[in-house]
Amino acid sequence: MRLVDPHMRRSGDNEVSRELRFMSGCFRDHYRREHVIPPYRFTRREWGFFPFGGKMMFRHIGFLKQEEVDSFFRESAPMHAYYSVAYYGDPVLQPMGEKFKTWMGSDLIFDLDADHLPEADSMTYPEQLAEVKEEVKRLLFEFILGDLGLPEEHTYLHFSGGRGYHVHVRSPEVMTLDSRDRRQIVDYITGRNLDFEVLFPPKVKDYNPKYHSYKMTRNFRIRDFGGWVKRIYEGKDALMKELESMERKNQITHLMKIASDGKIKVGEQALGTIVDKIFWESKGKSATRVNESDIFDVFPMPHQLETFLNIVVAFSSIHLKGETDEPVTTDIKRLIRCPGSLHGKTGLKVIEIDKHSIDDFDPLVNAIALSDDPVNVDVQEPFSMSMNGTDWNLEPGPVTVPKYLAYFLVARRLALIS
Amino acid sequence: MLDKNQISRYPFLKEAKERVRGMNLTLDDMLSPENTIIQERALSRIEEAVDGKDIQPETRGVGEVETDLLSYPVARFIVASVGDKHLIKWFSHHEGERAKFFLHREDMDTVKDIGRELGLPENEGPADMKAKEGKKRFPDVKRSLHRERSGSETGTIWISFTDFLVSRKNISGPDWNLVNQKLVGGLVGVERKSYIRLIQERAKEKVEEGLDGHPPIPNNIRLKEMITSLKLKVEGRRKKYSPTELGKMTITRLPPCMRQILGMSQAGENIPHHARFALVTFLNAVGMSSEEIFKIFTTAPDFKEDIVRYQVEHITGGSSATSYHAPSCDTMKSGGVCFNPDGLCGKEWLNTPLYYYKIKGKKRSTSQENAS
Ligand code: SF4
Repeated sequence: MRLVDPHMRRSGDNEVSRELRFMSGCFRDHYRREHVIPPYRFTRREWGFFPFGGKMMFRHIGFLKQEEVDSFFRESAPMHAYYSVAYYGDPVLQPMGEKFKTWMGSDLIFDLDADHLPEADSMTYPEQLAEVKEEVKRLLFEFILGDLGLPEEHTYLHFSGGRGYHVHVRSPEVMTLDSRDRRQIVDYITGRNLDFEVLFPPKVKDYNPKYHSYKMTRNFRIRDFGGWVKRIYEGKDALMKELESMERKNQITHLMKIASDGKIKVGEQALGTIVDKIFWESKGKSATRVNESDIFDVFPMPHQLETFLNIVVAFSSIHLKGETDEPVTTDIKRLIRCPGSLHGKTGLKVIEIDKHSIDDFDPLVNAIALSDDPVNVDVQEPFSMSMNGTDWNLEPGPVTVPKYLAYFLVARRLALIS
Repeated sequence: MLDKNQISRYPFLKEAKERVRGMNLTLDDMLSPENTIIQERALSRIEEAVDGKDIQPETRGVGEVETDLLSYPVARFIVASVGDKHLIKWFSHHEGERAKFFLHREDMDTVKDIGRELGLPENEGPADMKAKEGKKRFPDVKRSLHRERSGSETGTIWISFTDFLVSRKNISGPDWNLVNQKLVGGLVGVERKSYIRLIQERAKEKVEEGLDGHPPIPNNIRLKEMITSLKLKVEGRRKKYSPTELGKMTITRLPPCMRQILGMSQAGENIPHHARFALVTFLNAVGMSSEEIFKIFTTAPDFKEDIVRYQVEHITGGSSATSYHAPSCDTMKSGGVCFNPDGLCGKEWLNTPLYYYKIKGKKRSTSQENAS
């Protein structure tokens, strides 16, 4: 069956499609029932909204009172709602340049989204969500609260309503960091611009005082070095553990996958040499040395060591949304989806998650905001997914489903309103 | 606590300001004929900055410590009165260099005191790190005795990573990227030398603060003379090397990143080394000669003629076998110098600033054809 775009299907010239009317009706009902709690210091922020059936976002909006926010959501029921990570003296001032002159600081934001995962296309929606969750846990506990030591009480975790998570940090020390400072933080998290010369400076080894003889080597300065030296050290251990039990062929495939995810250019042959050096040529002796962290002596060629270290880095770093092309963290004027609002493409709610019970959080249960009133839809494509604890296996044709699922299907153009 | 001598070396500190205030001298007093010696010292302080002179160790007699101390606020007042943005940059850079020069000669506790006042306080190191350091050092009795005498000269200083980020902003090189630091629980561990380098940046900023205020100039002949002579001197340095014209390059075709870096260089801002590198390779690639490129950097506060000339020639291949390629947009981005990318930059296929320049050239020539 041909897919009909619900946003395009119109029964008359000035009439909106039934789907669009259904969708905006859902949001209207919801916002009538539930208030959006405005964010911290909301009067200093710029707001932006995308209406149902609209073609562009309305920006540069400001609110002075909580009631204004409330009645705006009730009356307009926007498809997407955003606010600025920045605080301004005058948030509605235009053009942007003028407004920015009154800049007072910005929350530090991290955006983890499935569309940046190397294999997002071949995964189902729940698979994507699960994968991003693993990344967000590492981002939060290893990096934000770990290495960066940012205060937990100022760190908020939100489900984005779509395919990912947002972390907002609002502690005073990060507010006034500019975009260049934030780029440094992103580089830290993604492991970009690591310099092995700086991290592992040469040092003297096997010094013999009798003859004053010694060798030069590089080594993990694990004792007095935190940061990436420690992470590479531990990442290497974890990677070695995975490789140990594999056949040569699988080792190469495994490394190849990590390399391509990390956008490292390396051929199969080169990877073959690397695993040979570690595991196969010296009957495992090298493997022991790698485990004991003397990896600098295992590879005869410097570029082999470098490739190996780069793979370990790719294995240990985090894929942030738009690492290079669409820098969320470094953009201090960015608009971010408003917590408490509904996401127009899923009908799910942007909600705060308790950082320590993230494992129990299931977006397809906990972020459901619309009611379970029955709605008749006409399914366009076979669909199966679990939502709110029920496994749905739908075939094309008419069916009655709860409203939250109906919204999800219609918004993703998988069904029409019948 | 700093002694009198030390205070005069770091005149931008609160203690120094208080001491000056305690002397109960008004600006008029300091500018009066009895105090010519202070004025002379102030003037030479500024002139050294304009000339880019190296810092000289102190050779001071009785009473000269006061002169030195008082010359700082007078010099500030004069710089602000001249009201030239290049002069402000040169002056604050030079005062930063001066602070670094003396800091290298202080004991660790003094360095830390000054660091604290300038917004780089030392923190207690991460717990597990301290345990390890302790273990390593405990058996070495001789060494720990030595350490007691000289303060923890060899130890690591832990500063908060946000203080680190804010202070490192204008220092370039892989050694200064956060990703290459010891970062544990929000603290960056630095060695003494790097700590002083960071303090120098803070000192420079502190000096620069408030110099663009254009104070009302009192009717004082001596002051007016000094201002005029300085203006001439500043003009002199600028003229000597002024980037008269940009040769074959067309400003309107410059990508936003290069425009920004060029603007910063011409405004006398100290730009990170890799930004300078990018600009030089870029300008070289679009056909500017190394002489023309050289002139652009003559207003930089850390300008040293022979060094800059060498660098430019090295990069453009004039004095070495290799010439370097202009960096790609990716490199620019990760170096934090992809400034204000515009619509054209957003195109997927735009991968180097040079390509931007080329495209802009094409667009222009076709539109000219259409017009004619
Ligand atoms: S995208 Fe490329 S050309 Fe554009 S500003 Fe950034 S570095 Fe320059």
